[in-house]
Amino acid sequence: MSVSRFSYASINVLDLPAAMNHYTNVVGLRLVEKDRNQAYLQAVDNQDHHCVVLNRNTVAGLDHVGFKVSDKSDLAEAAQVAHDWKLKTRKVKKGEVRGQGEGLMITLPSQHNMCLFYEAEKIGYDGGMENPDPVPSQTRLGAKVTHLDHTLLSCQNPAETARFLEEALDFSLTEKIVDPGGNTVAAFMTCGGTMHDLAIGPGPDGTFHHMAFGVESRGEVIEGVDILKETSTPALEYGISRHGVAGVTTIYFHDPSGNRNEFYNGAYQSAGIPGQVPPVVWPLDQFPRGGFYYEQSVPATFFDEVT
Amino acid sequence: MEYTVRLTNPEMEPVEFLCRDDVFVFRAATDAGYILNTACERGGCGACRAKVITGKVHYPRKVSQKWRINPETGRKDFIHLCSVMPKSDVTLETLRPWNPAGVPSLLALVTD
Repeated sequence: MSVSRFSYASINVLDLPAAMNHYTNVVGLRLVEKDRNQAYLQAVDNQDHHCVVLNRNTVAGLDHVGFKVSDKSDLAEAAQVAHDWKLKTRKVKKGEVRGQGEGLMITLPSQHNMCLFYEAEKIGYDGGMENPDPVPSQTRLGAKVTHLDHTLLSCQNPAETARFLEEALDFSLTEKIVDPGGNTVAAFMTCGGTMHDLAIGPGPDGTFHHMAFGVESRGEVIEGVDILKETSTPALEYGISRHGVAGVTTIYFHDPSGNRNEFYNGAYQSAGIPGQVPPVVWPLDQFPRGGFYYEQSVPATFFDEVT
Repeated sequence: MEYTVRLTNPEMEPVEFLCRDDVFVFRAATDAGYILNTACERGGCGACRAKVITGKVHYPRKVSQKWRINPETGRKDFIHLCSVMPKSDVTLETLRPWNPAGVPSLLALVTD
């Protein structure tokens, strides 16, 4: 079983034009395709059709996350393991998610939907695919986001979903937060050699905590903050900070429907065979330091408030 | 029009401030020196939820309907203070306590 990477987040928004404006002019994504009810966007350093899908809806939050598999046969294998775990699945037809081949939608134990798929239509890098511009556009509006990096999903029993990802889909656990009884409260998991593609944290089932967009330097996180301030985009009260988890530079902010976003830089790579690299462990009583390393505390609204 | 907004919470002494009918309650509260419990400030997350005890409010923009529902009654008992404006004098009971605004008086540092 080989899930190769986190490809996209399909999220619900209350005001589609306002969301499109945010994800292009604040976050800095390319608008690929849109109609009355949906928009597809991609970052500059990804060739695939989309990394964010916006769906017009009356509730904010997640519709589903999309992960790419390495081989078409992985879809049948995933269907089998999901069946073994007694999880609900359904086939996704080619084109149901635009720019994408057939897929398998799995409802995780956390009640989030995960679409596994193999084929993505190619739009190419922003700089072009032949004789390209090696330097990303300096005149594009928004932050210098290169890619969608990871997402954090909230649920009542993070350990159970983490176990499914690890044991059934061969994700690796890179870091975890454990309570005094040794139970996993939050799990940071990767399938593509990054520090994490998917984190599972505590909260109401099926809710969306955030998705993070990667930039190439700490300086570009700071430039991102300047854009947030200029556009009056609501941000976490701590402003720019550093996570103890992975030591990354970070700022959280919200899209016009209240879905949380992050600008993010500085994570390590996590090469290694799934299950063979021991995770970094954060005891819960030390988590304020792991959460926000500079402030050594976590704002009350950080885990309480999700969409 | 300008109306009186009264905020209550079991953990707090009630407070009152004025709010125009074209200003978000959250914004008027901030201007009056009360920092409400907020996160997204866009009607998505529900950090700023309250119940209307008396009076009427209106929503000039769309908010996520998910967190408006009170699990105890199954009804949309909650409003988002970040996204409503008053239509009359109102009394609103907040789900979470508020904080006083933390603006220090620099003048207090100056001795004559």
